[in-house]
Amino acid sequence: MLRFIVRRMLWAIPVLIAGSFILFVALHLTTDPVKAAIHHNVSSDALIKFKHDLGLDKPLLEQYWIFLTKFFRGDFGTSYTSGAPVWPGLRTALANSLVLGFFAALFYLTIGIAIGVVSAIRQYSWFDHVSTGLSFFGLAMPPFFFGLVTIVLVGTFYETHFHSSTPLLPFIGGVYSPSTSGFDLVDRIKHLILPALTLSVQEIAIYSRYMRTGMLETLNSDYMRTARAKGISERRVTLRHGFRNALIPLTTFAGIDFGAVAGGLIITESIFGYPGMGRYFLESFHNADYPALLPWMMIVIGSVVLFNLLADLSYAWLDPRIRVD
Amino acid sequence: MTEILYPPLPADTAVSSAALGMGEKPLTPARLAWRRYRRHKIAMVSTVVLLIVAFMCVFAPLFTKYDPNTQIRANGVLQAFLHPQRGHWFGTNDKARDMWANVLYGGRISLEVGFVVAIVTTIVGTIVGVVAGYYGGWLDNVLMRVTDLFIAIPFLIGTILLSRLPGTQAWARTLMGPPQSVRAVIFVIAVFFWMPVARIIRGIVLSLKEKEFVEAARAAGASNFRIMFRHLVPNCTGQIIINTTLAVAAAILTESALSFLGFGVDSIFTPTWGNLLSNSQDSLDSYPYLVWAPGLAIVLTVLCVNFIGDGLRDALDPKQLSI
Repeated sequence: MLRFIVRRMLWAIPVLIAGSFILFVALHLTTDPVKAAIHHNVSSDALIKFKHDLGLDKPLLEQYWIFLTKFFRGDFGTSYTSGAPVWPGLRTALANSLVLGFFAALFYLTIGIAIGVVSAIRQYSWFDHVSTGLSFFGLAMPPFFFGLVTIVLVGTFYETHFHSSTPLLPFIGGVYSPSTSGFDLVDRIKHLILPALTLSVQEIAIYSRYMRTGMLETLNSDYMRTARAKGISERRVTLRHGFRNALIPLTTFAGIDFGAVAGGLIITESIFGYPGMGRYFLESFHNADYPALLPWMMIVIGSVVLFNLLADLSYAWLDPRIRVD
Repeated sequence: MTEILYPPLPADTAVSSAALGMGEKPLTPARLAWRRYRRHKIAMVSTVVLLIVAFMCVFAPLFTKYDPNTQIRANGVLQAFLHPQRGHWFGTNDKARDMWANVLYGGRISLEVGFVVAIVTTIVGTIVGVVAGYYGGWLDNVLMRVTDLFIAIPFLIGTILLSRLPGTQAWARTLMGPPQSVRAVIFVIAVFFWMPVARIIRGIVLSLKEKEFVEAARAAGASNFRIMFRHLVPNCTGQIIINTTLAVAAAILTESALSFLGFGVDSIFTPTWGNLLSNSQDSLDSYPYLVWAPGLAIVLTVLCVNFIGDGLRDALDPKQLSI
């Protein structure tokens, strides 16, 4: 087991380095901070000096090395656009995305798993058929379309049909209403509902399908019959012997899924103007703000690698049969 | 040799003889699959609906008298934001263009992106998978590590960065076409779409290459190339077709997501379902009806494609539980 862990962790290092290097090069090929900073009356000498000051005239490999060493020393640098240190802004964005991701995951995992279990236990019942149909709809629904529809419903539709001057739920910008001062749990949650719902549509569809398949497989396995033959109650057989085993393959999937949270909420966040990692990326990318983008990339790739690793480890831990070394 | 292997059947067992495959036409695997596919009612309905949608998009001029880029005028005044009405079933948008025409013509691009991406990535993924699985060793190792790397790069970030490449690099422009062109978008999506197929095909090839028929082919003097593409790939047909179908759906969704973020096909003269939807966001408060047509077009198409994929899975790979 230890060898398995060590080998997987060692493998994560080259992936992180190669992945970040590719993105580093891609960033340099597609954006130009100097160009982004050009105003009307800047002389070409000043531009050359500007480029030199930022260290952008060095060879690409050297720039990457400088960034990598600084990053691992915890020196994230200052933003080109705001001149402020990068880390506080990045930390806030990361925290916001994690809160949204966690809130949404709690919601879609609960609903998705519950639907999957019930569909499997009552296979071919009306509930199963309806949830199957809905899951196909969920899979076909682009998140931004669903997001826009919810905005129409809680905004224009609600305001005209319920004679309200304010929308049912806030849907634009920020994590708090402008009027709030300090921490306000209710207001915070209100801002989370629509983004979380938008994130959940496809996820519920996927998880309920996976759970149903997994549950059907365990329900038809021999140890279930053995458990029943021993006289254990049906409820206990389903929950202890069926449900718990059906959850195992889901952990791998969930791991990969959570790994994407740090960078993957781009669409949802840009619909609702939610200040998380996705919006942070789009804004920094627009301004070609390298010092802001590079640590962002490391965090995003790192979290993908980390959660893949955790998924593999938890899989090996939960199901001893697949411990390979 | 005129030995009768089976006694002539009496007339009343004609039905069962057909079921046993002793009817007039021999039951090839393709016919068996088609028979199973026909039984999947939703997949059949979806096939018809998708064909209708595709027909309407390809032959768009038959279904609308407007060009998607024509600005609608009445008495010389631009008719922007017309509500849905006679003559303009989905209204007109901010640019005073007819939405129904835009959705039809936009469907051409969205479907083109979906199908081209699916076909190209299936070919690339199949070649990578079959070569990696068949040769094994260092070649397998290199190809699979490259695959891992592409999986590790966050998908949307990769596509966003890549979509900006033709705008800044001349060599990228010759390879991918002008920035935000249909060709560039197809290229960008395809680069991040071939990995799942490669992995699946490699897995199948790994188990198939030890089988006797491969050994027999080799003993008969077949070249590696012939073994791979005449013996191994045809045995993966089922999986290849299923994955191509699902890739069509995923590519259509990706195209619209990229357009939505402003990294897709340029919306000024080339409507796609994605950029129509994206443009509708700006006037969401006052003109919410602009959201429905492109959005529902995407949902309907992707839904049909997914159902077809489900039907194909049942038809071509009956052992696998559909999820």
